Amino acid sequence: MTTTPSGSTPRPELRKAGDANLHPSTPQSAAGEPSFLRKGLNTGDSVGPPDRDKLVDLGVKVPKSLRKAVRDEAKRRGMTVDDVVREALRERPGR
Amino acid sequence: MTVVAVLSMKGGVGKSTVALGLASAAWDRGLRTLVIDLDPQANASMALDVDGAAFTSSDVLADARPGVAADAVVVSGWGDSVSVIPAERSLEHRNVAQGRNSALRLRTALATLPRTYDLVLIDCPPSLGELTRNALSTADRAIVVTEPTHFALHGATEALEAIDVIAAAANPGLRASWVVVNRFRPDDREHRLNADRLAEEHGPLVYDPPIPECAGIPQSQRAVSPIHSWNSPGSREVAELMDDLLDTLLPPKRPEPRGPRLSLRRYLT
Repeated sequence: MTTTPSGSTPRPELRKAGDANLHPSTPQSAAGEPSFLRKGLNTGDSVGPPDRDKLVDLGVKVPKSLRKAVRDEAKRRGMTVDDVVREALRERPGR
Repeated sequence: MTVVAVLSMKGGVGKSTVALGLASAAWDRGLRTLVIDLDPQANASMALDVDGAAFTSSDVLADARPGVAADAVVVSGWGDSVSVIPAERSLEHRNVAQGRNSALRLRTALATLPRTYDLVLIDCPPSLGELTRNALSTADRAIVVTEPTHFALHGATEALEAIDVIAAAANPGLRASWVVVNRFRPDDREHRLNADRLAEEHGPLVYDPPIPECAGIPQSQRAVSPIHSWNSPGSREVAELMDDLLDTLLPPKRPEPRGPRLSLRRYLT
């Protein structure tokens, strides 16, 4: 944490963007993991009120391998599978 | 404190030139000024003689936690009064929606930082994407820059519509201050016709007089100097125009405080 010039309010320190060295014309598939996987408590995406929408079930059949990948991802990031899927769906345009 | 976004939908019309001209007028008066470069071409950063900064506006928008923008502020080569949050090529990655409240990321990251400046100028990219949306969600004034050409005029109208949309959706304090015509050649019939058309369409929003084409502008930019320090008849004319434009953007001056009042008590004891 850093203090403001007045020395009163502590604030977080700025971090370098993960894609700073990535040329803008790099295709998305070559850019590594999708942007939603880079988000979390370390960026302003954690800022703002939690979702107030009512939660509903979305019964979707997916390949087993995809379920495994999402579970692994959730475990790695200390999140629930639902949270990982929710983040992924939020990335869809026009949500 | 005034936060001004300088935008246009069309590239190459002189957004950075106007932003730098206003920064130069502020520099000439010794006003505390912050230029936020939101154009991935980083022309304003170059003209303000900023090179090799640790952080850029791309990092600010990627992080976006309250107050982090202060870490990206560097002093410009023009002197202590003008500071910059520079741009870089990878800022292009930020021109798409990102997470919740995507258009408010700049405003959140700046937090109270603008209050420490007399003037904050945001140089936008030539598009109405997420970078411009962030600029308009942060600013309280917007200047649309155009050339007196057919396509540029169309772009100016689009930019004014974008200002209305953002003002209605995200930033009720925002208003369009001026449409500034740049690179005007009075002896060019096409320029005169288009300037008239612009005045018909947008009336009092069009800033008069237009900024003339002037060789001193690119020369001063190449020399990384404020236009106010460039000594040629054309650049002096542009500098005066920028002074007048800046006057319309800043809050009116308060009357000078009077000297110490006479105290009767001093004479009664």
